[in-house]
Amino acid sequence: MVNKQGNKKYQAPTATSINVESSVLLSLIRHTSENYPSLFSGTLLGFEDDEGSIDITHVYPFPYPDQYEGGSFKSRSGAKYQDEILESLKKLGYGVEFQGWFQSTVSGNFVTTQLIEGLAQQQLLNKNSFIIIHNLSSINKEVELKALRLSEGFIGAYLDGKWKSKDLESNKISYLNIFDELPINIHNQNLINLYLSNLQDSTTTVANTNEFEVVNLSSNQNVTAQLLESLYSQVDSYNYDQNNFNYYQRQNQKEVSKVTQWKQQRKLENLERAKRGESELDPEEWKSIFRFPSEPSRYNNILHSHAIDVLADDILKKCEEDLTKSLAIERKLISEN
Amino acid sequence: MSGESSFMHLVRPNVAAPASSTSTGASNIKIHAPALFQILEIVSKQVLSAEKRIIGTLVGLRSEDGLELEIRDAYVVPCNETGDSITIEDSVHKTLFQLHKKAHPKEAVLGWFGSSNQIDSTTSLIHDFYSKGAYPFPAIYLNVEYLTADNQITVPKLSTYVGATVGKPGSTQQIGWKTTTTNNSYIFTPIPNQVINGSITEKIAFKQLREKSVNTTSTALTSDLSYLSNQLEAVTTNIDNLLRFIESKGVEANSDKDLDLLRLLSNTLLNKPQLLSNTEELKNLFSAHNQDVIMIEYLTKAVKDQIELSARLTASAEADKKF
Repeated sequence: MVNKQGNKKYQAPTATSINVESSVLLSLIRHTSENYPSLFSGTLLGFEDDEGSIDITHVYPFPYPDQYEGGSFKSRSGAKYQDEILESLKKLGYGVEFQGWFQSTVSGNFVTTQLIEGLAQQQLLNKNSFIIIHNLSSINKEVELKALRLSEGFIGAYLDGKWKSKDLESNKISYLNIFDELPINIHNQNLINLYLSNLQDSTTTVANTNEFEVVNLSSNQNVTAQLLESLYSQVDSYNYDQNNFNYYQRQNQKEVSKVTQWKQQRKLENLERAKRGESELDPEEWKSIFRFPSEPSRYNNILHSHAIDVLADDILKKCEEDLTKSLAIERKLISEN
Repeated sequence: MSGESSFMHLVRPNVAAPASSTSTGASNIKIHAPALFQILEIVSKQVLSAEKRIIGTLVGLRSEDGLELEIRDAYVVPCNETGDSITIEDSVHKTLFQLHKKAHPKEAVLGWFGSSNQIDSTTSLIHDFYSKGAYPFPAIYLNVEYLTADNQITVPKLSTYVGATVGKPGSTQQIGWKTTTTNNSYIFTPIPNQVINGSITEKIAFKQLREKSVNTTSTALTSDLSYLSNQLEAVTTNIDNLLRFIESKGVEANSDKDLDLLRLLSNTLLNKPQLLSNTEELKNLFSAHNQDVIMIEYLTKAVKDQIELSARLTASAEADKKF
């Protein structure tokens, strides 16, 4: 977690998939879903294996909930907690190391500067760092986990640090490929497999809960409203940033027209001087007279765009779910009567 | 797993006065699936030939009256067995618990787990250690039996016990490095346990694990709409099963055997809201709802496309800059 600005040697990641032990999966999901709507993050511990995948064997949530996504990654208390756990696990003889974080979130809201910054720093230290995002927008209906890491292009632009359009262009990134997604595989110990395959149907229960909530027609109402609200606020932030950019574009346009005018004038002047037989004035002199505004950073723009994109996808998914259910029920009811 | 009905609880008169709380021992233990998986993962690392004992701490919640326990987490604690005595690395146990406590302030040490085929004198030595941690409540002991008598692996069998002191404190024994303690005798009373899922989302994950557990060692997660169709299929199967059940009972239709089921069914069917018979109104409502959804979908798509358009336009505008 140490911020080493000097360490700018970035290596391309080598891991291609994430293996998660089933106990880790369940612990993680329980912690994040029990504490919803508080957001939680935590440490994923494990080791890299030789075949290019990362095995996660332990998960420890950070003690305090996050006010925003990525809040604990660079906090001192989070880092200390993480170190203490690593140390005590080392004492137990586990050869585990810090591999990444998990973070619970609602849809696209996880794209915060804090999270990106933390992850980028981590990826500079350890090329295979990643983050597991638990999307709680379909809590109690579906398990939505994805493992992400920042794409090589993004890290390249991050190291450049200017975030101008031409930097984005040269690193070949847009808001659509900030992250690379890694496939998650769930691994069961053989003993757990043995246990699971011998389970009777009725052994596990949760009182007063219904895992068929997803087939309830109105189950999405609150979620869709919440997602739409997040979408508004992301669009607002996007617009705020876009205004700055538009201002820059207008200024730029103004300068451009001034330069064209000046050039025109100089051309005429030169023509006249040529007629009079005088020497030409320098047609490139505008470069020292006019100054173009510099392009503002596109960093926030691509982050907001990414968040909006993920949110929109989730909303579309919910809507599709809704329509499927609604049409099915409608057909049934109307044809029956 | 044993059903709850097969246990009878008697309050035993307490012989040892200091541990008087034993009469209110736990009567039901809920094991959270993640904790169970952790325990199974830990015990499966037991080296069979070396006969090395693997134990660990159970942490979780205790209901206010102390009757119900929830095992929510577990971690391993190293120990060394030499002849009749055992060294438990107290410091590891304590640091790990402190760390756990930070993230889960409400949880406490409930007892310990191990995997052996019998309860022997060492069992009570370890139990003695944990009894102090769980004080004033009696500690519980969870045993995972997954080996047959001739060291063949079999389906893990979980049994939980609550240990209560009996008799007068016995001989003095060395536990840990410096602490000398009196060695109590324990009586282990089996108590029922059940495996539960803490939240619905976890239950869904658990179910997926179960469905895919046979013949595979790893499963991939999917995040498309397949989940919805799976659930819809499950509902259809349930209805089919119900219909088949009712049809198969056709002969004994007049018996009271399934009265509860019939009552539930007729209540559900009779509680039909008035609206359902008003087809016109229903049609209107549905089409209004569908149109709303489609509108949201349309607008969201528009936002999504606008963002893309803006990104592309900006990129090309900046690329075309003349100066």
